[in-house]
Amino acid sequence: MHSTPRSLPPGTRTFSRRELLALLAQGAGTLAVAPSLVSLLAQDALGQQGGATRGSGKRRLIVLWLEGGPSQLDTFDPKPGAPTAGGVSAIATDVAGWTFADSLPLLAKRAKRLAVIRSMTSREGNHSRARALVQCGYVPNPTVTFPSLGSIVAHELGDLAHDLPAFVQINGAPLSAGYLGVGASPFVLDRPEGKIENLSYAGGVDKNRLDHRGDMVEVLDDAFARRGGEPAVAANQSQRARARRLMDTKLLTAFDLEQEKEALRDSYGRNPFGQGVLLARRLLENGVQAVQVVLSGWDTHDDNRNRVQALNQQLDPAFATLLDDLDKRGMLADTLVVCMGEFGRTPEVTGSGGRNHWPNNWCVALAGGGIRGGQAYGATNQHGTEIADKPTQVADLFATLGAALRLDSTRLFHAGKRPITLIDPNGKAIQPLLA
Amino acid sequence: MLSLTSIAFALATPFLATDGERPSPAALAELIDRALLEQWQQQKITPVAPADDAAWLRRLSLDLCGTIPLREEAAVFLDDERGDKRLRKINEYLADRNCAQNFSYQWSNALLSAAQKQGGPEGARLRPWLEEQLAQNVSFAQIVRELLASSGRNDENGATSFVLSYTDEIEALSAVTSRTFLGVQIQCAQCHDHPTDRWKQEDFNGFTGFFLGVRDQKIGEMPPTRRLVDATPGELRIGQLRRLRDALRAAAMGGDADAADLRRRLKRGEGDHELTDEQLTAFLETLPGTQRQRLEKGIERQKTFGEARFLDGAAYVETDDRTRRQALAEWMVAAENPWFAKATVNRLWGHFFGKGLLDPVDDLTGSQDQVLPPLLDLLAQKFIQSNFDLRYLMEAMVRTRVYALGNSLDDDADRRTHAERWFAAHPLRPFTAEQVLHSLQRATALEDEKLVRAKGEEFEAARRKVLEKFRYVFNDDEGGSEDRFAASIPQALFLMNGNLTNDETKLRKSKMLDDILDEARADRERQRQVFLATLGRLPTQREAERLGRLVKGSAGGNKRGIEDLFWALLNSTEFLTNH
Repeated sequence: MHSTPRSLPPGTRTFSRRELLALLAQGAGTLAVAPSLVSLLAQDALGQQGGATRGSGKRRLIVLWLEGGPSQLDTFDPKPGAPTAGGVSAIATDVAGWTFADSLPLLAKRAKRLAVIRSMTSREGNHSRARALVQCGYVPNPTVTFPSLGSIVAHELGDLAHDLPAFVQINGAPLSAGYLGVGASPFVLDRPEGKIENLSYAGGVDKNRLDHRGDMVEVLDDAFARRGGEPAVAANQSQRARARRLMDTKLLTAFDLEQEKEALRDSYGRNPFGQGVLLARRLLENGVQAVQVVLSGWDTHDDNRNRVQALNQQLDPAFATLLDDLDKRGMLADTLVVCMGEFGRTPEVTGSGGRNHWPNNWCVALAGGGIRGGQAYGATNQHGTEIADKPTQVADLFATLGAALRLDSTRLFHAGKRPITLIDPNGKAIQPLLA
Repeated sequence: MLSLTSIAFALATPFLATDGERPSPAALAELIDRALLEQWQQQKITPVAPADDAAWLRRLSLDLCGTIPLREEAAVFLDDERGDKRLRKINEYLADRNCAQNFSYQWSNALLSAAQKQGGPEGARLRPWLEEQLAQNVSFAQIVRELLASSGRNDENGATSFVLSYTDEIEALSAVTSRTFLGVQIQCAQCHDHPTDRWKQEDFNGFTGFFLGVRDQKIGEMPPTRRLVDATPGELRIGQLRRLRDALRAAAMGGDADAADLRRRLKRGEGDHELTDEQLTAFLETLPGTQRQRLEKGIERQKTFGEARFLDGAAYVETDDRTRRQALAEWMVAAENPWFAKATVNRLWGHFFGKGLLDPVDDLTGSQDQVLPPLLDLLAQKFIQSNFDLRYLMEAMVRTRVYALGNSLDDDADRRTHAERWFAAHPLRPFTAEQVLHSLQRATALEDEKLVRAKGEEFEAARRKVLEKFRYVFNDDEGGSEDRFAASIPQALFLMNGNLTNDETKLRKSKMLDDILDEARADRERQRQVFLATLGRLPTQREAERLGRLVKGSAGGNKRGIEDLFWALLNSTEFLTNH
């Protein structure tokens, strides 16, 4: 029993398995043909537009996802002295007249690189709906599953013939690629260090034996394709090929944090988030197009002040070191960094010292590729209870991100019979934020 | 390619028996076949050749029981020469507990769409309850009535777990109820009216109003036990007052004399009667912003959903002898309801034939893609007349010649899609997470207990956990469609290198392989048996030759070779496809 089926976008060029085999037969005299075949297979499975150019020069993305709804008052929109301050004092940043919460000292020294929208607003105060909205840029709708930003970047900008997956997610519940298909879904690591599940050869199986087994699968798939199974066979084969490439690639060292200097690992923070952010940089360097790193625990219904402070002690060094590190390697100019969660928290502090869900006004921090740093956009009133200037919808945020990433936001897809643009057309890109 | 008449001749005979008093599935199957046959003739579509016995049995087993057929079962079926062997199988499966279990997964997936809920304690109670109802073939009207209207403890009545999963978000409950049971998508109108949409915000609010007042009471922590109750309209107002009282307390402590006075009166129980709207508004004005907003939100909510309204415009009259949910349930399952029977029929059709007569299956009023509307009307009518007998409907569908067709061999994707849309060829469908798990278990003779390493009460939870993992790796939260063929890298890695496909294909570790090696001495027979265990069919001559050579060529000899073949079968596209 299925719901919400989708189909490939119109104009999609797919190669039948037989066409591919014919291609192979024509040009298979040399091994040099193999990579292009592999890339055709990869494109085939994802329904890529034929002839689309892929590869270098595309913007890359890192999302620092603060799961649970981070308090704006305890991070980027502090109100020291106000009844809503919640005990937080503010510190000056390196941009005149702009302050952050005192537990973000390292980011405060790098505010020149940051653009913070302080006037984000939405109507979604329920975790799962808000998460869907802020990660995908569309108001959730049960008839369509929208792709998250990372899947959009992977699908539109990623090199699908590359050995590594185009989108990697570190920590947190896996995101769906929605109508873009599972090929654009994230490769998920539930922790930044240690063995990756099912990536190494099973006990008693070496490369030769797996190849031999692969030959048997080939015989079976060939027979099934002849009996009408062809569309399914083509997709399976391409994913098996991608999985094998991932197992055997030299680029697997990208996942090895041991290769980083101890001092740098320390400055990112010796915790799963800090090390995850470091891993994100390594993956981007090695050809991954988008990485999302999740830091959970922001749903501070009690003891907000201490809990946020502890979380800031992970966020601050990781985010700040990432900016320095990307800059040093010449990657900051083409890497968009987005730091956000699903909503903000109530200005009012509850009896148990908590803050509850608050979609009315919250913050998003941006840096890097396509973004003009050193500015706050929008503002809340004196006590942070209402937006005082430039209310910004999630659709506006996504239009801005789309522009910063140089995406074709108007590209049309189909979810079932329903046409959908890559990014919600109701949003307007915020020009002052764009470099 | 066979002609239409020859198909009719070849497959009609075993299915024409009538069933006495009970509404006849055979007669309904005949009506379906005739309707499609007529359509194909009109449109000059040539249906594909029928599926062979092995393909048909595997399909039936997957669709009804959620898993591939047993090895011995496939062997016996292929050798069976009785003319009614397919009909016998249909009846055997419909009475099989696995069939009830399979459909309980389908329905609970539809009802508790968020994976979190399915894995949680309510999902663990709802699914077994559904299984029990389906095993007894309780009328679907009665099942839905209980799901929507039951009250009481979740440890005594698993039906309550549906509503209990949504007590803090009745908007979602309203959306999932109308979508699943009526095929009506009102949720798009939740935020605002869309110019092209038939459903307006007042429809959404009115339908959601039937759930206003559902509330849960915590009874115990381990295991989490709750009671589902409904607030009366009066109680609802008191609920608001309780929130108000909290606000008053804070204000009074801040020195507000009016607040202190109001609070004293509320405490004495006078508030319910004495607090006028004007007083309320005046008081709200005095509160700090955030507190006021929250309180206003609660009051707003009651205003928004306070008036319950049926979707067909029929008036709802509040009476003391039934809850709003009971009234809703009766309206939903009434024979006159314009959507209930159709939605159920269309969903089941989609389950067996790959796509609904209306597509998507759960959007009756918005679908732009429908074939044969009169057939859907007819099936809905028959379903109502049978008193919503699911088994009757399912039996009729799988008895058809349409269901028994093979796959399209057409290279042209458009022609293939067209034939499949008119049900003149059976579609290919990648396995769902449940089908992968259960079929891997069957193929390797891996018992539940070994898989989840938990017994007794915790078993269901442990099993769900395994399933969650499969559901992630096999990523089937998207529903069915063509691009589900885009299998993922984690899925390929799981099958290639994972413990399940490797340990369970090893000699002296795999029960299935050991059984086969004990039974059969000749290599050729061993190969035939692993084919039966995984694909439910025998190898073709060409496969036997090519694979036989590869088995011989395996490093370490024939025994390693049979391990390799078994593994390869589990990794083959055919194994992972319902075709």
